[in-house]
Amino acid sequence: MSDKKSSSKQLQIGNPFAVNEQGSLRKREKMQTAVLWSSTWFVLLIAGIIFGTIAVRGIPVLMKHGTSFLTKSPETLFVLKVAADREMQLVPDDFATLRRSNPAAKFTNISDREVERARTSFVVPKGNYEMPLGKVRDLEAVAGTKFQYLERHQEGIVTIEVKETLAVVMDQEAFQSFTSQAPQVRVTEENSLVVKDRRKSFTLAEKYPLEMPSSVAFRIKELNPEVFKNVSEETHSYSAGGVLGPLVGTALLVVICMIVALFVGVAASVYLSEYAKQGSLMNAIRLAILNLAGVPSIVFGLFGLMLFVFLAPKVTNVVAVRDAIRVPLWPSFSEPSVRQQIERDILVAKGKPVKEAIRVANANRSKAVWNGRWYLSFEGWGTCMLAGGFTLAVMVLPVIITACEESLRAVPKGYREASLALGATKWQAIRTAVLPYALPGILTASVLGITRVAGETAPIMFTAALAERSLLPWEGINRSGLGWLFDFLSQSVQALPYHIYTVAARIPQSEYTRPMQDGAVLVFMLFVMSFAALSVWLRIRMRSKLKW
Amino acid sequence: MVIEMNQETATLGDMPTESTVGTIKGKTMIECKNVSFSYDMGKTNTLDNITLDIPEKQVTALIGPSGCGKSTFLRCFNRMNDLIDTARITNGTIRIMGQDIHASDVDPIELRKRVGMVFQKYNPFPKSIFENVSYGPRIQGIKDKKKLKEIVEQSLVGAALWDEVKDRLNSSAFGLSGGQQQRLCIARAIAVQPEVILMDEPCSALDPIATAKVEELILELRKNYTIVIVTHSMQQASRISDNTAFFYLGKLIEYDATATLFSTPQQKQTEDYISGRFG
Ligand SMILES: Nc1ncnc2c1ncn2[C@@H]1O[C@H](COP(=O)(O)OP(=O)(O)OP(=O)(O)O)[C@@H](O)[C@H]1O
Ligand SMILES: [Mg+2]
Repeated sequence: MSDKKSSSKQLQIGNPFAVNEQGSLRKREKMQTAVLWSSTWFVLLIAGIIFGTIAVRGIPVLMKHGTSFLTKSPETLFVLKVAADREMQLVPDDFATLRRSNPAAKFTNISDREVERARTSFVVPKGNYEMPLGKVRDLEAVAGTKFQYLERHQEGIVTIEVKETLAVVMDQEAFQSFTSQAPQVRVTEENSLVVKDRRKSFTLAEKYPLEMPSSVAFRIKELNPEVFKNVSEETHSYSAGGVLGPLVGTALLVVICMIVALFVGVAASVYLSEYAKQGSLMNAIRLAILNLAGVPSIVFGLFGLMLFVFLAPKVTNVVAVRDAIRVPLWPSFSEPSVRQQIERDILVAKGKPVKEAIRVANANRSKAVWNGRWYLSFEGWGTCMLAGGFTLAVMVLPVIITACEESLRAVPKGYREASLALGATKWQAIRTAVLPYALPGILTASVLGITRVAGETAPIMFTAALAERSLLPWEGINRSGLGWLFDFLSQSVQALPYHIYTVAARIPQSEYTRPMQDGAVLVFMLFVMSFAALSVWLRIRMRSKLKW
Repeated sequence: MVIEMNQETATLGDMPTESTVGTIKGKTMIECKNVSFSYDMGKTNTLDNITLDIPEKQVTALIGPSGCGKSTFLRCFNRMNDLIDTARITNGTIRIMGQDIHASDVDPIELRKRVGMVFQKYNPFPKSIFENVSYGPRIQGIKDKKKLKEIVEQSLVGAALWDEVKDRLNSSAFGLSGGQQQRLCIARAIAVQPEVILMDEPCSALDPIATAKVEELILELRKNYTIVIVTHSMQQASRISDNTAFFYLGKLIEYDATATLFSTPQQKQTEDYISGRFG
């Protein structure tokens, strides 16, 4: 009886777990999921559009320009309208560049040939020589070294010191002009020789506006003077690549920014969260730091200009007029050669005959002499990568400090207590039992912040960036040791974001400038990605060292 | 097994005016006189006027309902409470080996080297077993690998863990079982050769078998170290301790040899608490 009852009841109910159509909860859940789903896809869509566009527009540019896109500084693009059926020749490398840059041009009659070139090899013994500056440059180019100028005379004549015997080779014509204009140089072991240069000769099947970077344009005109006599040419500045310099500059700025920001940020957050007495003052300081994150980047740029470019302290013996305060330090001694000139000038000014003055000055040459004083001068570092790096660092500090405090707080209290209970000092406990476990988190957040500021234009516009520079930062520094580092850090650099800005907005626009933006943006994205990948790798390594 | 009691809402009747302190045999190691302690610059006292002597090379258990201040009292001995800005001893003195530990010429770092601590939740560092045990000696500046190895072995043997881990000293401490991790923490504490070891509910996160092992270890350590242990288990207190102190609401109610305290408690509250008639 009771059995029957229950079974009938069961029949009535049917599936007790059936979807309840009346209840709206299920529907609402579907709605909620839809909102979450669409938000995620919204982000992915935007990311896809951005990365897709950058790739689609950037990759063809890199393909077209190849390695010539990576020259040291922005180059001018030449467009030369060359007629059909005129034979030209070019160095094979340049020809490859030309073909890649003009995929639609029809090159015919391509053949290899060799051209003889007369050269002269000779030896320059060591010694001091007087010659025009231009010839010094020629000699430097073939010898592959830099000479020190002992003296500068009038009309661009200088005296250089050749420290070691040089064996060099020059083109015969260049050698002749060298010997005629620098007769003082005692050239020995003169030998004529003939080298064979490989050339590609080619013609165009139909008239075509050939695009090429300025360097190739100069060489093609030099090698084929008749062909290019009446060729119409257009030039487009900044349109033939040249992002290596900006790339290197940005990398250096990032490195400086990272060193400064990580050190200061980690130190400050350790102090804030571990040492300082917590209270309303601390909260006010935290708020101030957080607010720093809201300051517009152009304001950071201007503050960087004021603080680092015009006001920061610097140890120098050549004080700028604009310095705010100068604190005298130790006396400075001049280098012998400089001193020699100074002393000679003084003697001449006092009325000694010039020859006598030189003799006296030379006699005292080896002795260094007190000629001034080193100062701690608050004159700023000038526009340079150090100032730029510091400005960027100040900009990421709020991110780093906040992230760092978060990471420190996330380290279990037990580690700290265990370490202290074993007799560690406060700093030992922090260094060995807190920081290592917070470091992966700190690094992740910091790298995110740093890649963000690496792309900023405004903060470096006034503090570090140059639109164009012919040398890479490590080229052309004369001093060595600490002086080298000092000179290295006090130069302005090109920077990618600024380069992109220049190409996009500060030069006359043409159909040739847009591809430069696209290519530069892609290069920048690749740089940032590799930087992020590096940080991920570093974090994984650090994690694996901790034995969780 | 542990008696489960609703300690949070428990009341044990009126406070006695005087705490009962029985005769404790043995040379005094830690001497507390009228100690009062406050977490909020003296506004309210978490510990109130506690006087007791802890003898050398014996196990002294601190028992009492939750929140009565056992951990606080324990942490006074190695000045771990210094880490809290507003916390301080408002009255009285604590002497360890005859020295007032709050004297101006006492370095808390040196104090903590002599007074080790084992925590309720086992907390090895996320490093290898070897690095965990050698952590203490290393921060004290011992760099010699051979010496460190020696210390590590001695400490692990001392903590009855050597046989279980000698083949995997370089693997992560997190790969050990809970009981092994707690014994590792004990090994880490004895590696700095303390005189006193403070243990705050060292077995509360362990199962009965691991608990038995740690208790065995405590009885072994008793030969060389003075041990103060906080526990919620009456059975554990009666099994391993020589003396027991009963705390209630920040006051010491009764302190005596364990056998005496458990068989003939003098105070009504002590009797109610240990017999589980509570609230
Ligand atoms: N850091 C702190 N700041 C302020 N008050 C605290 C702090 N730590 C503990 N207290 C308070 O001090 C009192 C005693 O706490 P304590 O941790 O010493 O108790 P306990 O006897 O160890 O309890 P349990 O058995 O639950 O561990 C409690 O009322 C607690 O709320
Ligand atoms: Mg406790």
